[in-house]
Parts: sequence; structure tokens; C-alpha cells
Amino acid sequence: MMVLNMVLVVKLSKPGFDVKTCQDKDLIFSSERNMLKTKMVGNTTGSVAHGLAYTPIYFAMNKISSTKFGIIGQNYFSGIPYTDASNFVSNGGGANESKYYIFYQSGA
Amino acid sequence: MTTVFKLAKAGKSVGSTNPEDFIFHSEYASVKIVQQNEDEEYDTATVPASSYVDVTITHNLGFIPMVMLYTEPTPSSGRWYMGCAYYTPATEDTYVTADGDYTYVDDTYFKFRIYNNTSSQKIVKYYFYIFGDSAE
Repeated sequence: MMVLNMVLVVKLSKPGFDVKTCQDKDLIFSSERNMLKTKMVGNTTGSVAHGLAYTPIYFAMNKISSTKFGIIGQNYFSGIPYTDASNFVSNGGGANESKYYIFYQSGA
Repeated sequence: MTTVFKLAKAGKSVGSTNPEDFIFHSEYASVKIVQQNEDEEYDTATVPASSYVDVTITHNLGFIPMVMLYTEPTPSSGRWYMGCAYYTPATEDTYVTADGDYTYVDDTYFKFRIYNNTSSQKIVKYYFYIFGDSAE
């Protein structure tokens, strides 16, 4: 009996690139590269339990007005959003709101 | 019938219920870039001496998207920063202000302001990434 030990790789390249020869940066998807998977998204003015057993990585954007938000990493108000092993914390003292994106990926 | 597309990490079972065991899982969204610099090459902003420049990028998404910005505040330094600040880092010539009057995202535009604290014009390179998600 012969047993083949094969590794199946799935790749999708960007238009104009040969999926067999292009660099990873020119791929839309590769099964050889882990992707960020979203645990939860939302808006909060306080703390949100993320339910993960570690401190996850996240994107956060602070609210500037009813029609405007800051960009990722723009610490617009004095309290800077953060995560710990239990929560995402907008740290806004009740009035400051953040959009958050929390991923299944340890950041600590 | 719901079709699920999953790719497990090496050594993990595709039948796992732990999302961390997967490279990709269609039941857990991944962030998608809907707009970035044309041809994925950096753009530049010319900042006059001891002054500033405002940069406007139109996205027309109709919602406030998540946005990431990288700049090289000192031309040709090779040092790139994510986001913005309220001051110029000690070693840099320029900075993107965190002042929400000038750097912000709304449902149509992404705008940012670069200040130049030197006495000569600076050409600042930047990359931006607009994600197709509103976090709502």
C-alpha cells in the first residue's frame, strides 16, 4: 500500500498575477497564511467582555462627533482604548464612544 | 442548507469548534480592504515649510468605515508610523495631527492634516487602508 503525504494549498491571486509564481503580497488569499478572524464588533462607551482566554488584538476608532470618527490609532480623547484578558475598554468615562473590532488572535 | 468553507491550520481538525484552529472560516468574518493607494504604491503630500497640508480621500461608502494610515513623516528616513499624534516625534520633521477637526472619517471622506515643523518643504509618503466594515 502506498500512502501519499500531500499538503493541499489554496491560493487566490490578484488580477494580473500568476497564482503559481507571484509573491504572497500579490495574493488575495493563501491557505499558508493565517487570517484575522473577527470575534466581535460594535460600539461602546464603557467596557465589553470579549470572552477570550487571552488579551486579543483589536482595531478601535474613537468617536469625534455624531458624523465623524477618528482613524485606527487616533487617540482623540484622553482615555485611550485598550484590551486586557477580559475586556475591551473604551475608557471614555461614559461619554466617549469607540467602534471596536476584536480578533481571535493573542496580542500579548 | 448553509454552506460553510473552512481551512484548518496544519495539525488541526477541520471539525474543530475552536475558531483559532482555522486559517479561514466563513462563519468568522475577516477584514476586507475596499480602498487603498492606487496600484498599492504610496502617495505623497507636499507640506510647505512651517505650515500644513490637508489630504482628502473620497470613499463614498455611505457609512463610517474603519481606516488605517501609515506615514513616513521624515522623507526617506525609512521610519513609518501608524495613526497620528498631537505633536511631532522628536526625530521627525512632520506629523499627522490627531486633532479631530482635521483628521477624521465620515460616511464620504477620510481626511487628515500633516503639519511641518521645519523651515523647508517636505514631501511625505503615506499609505492608507479603508476597510469595508463599519464595526456596527
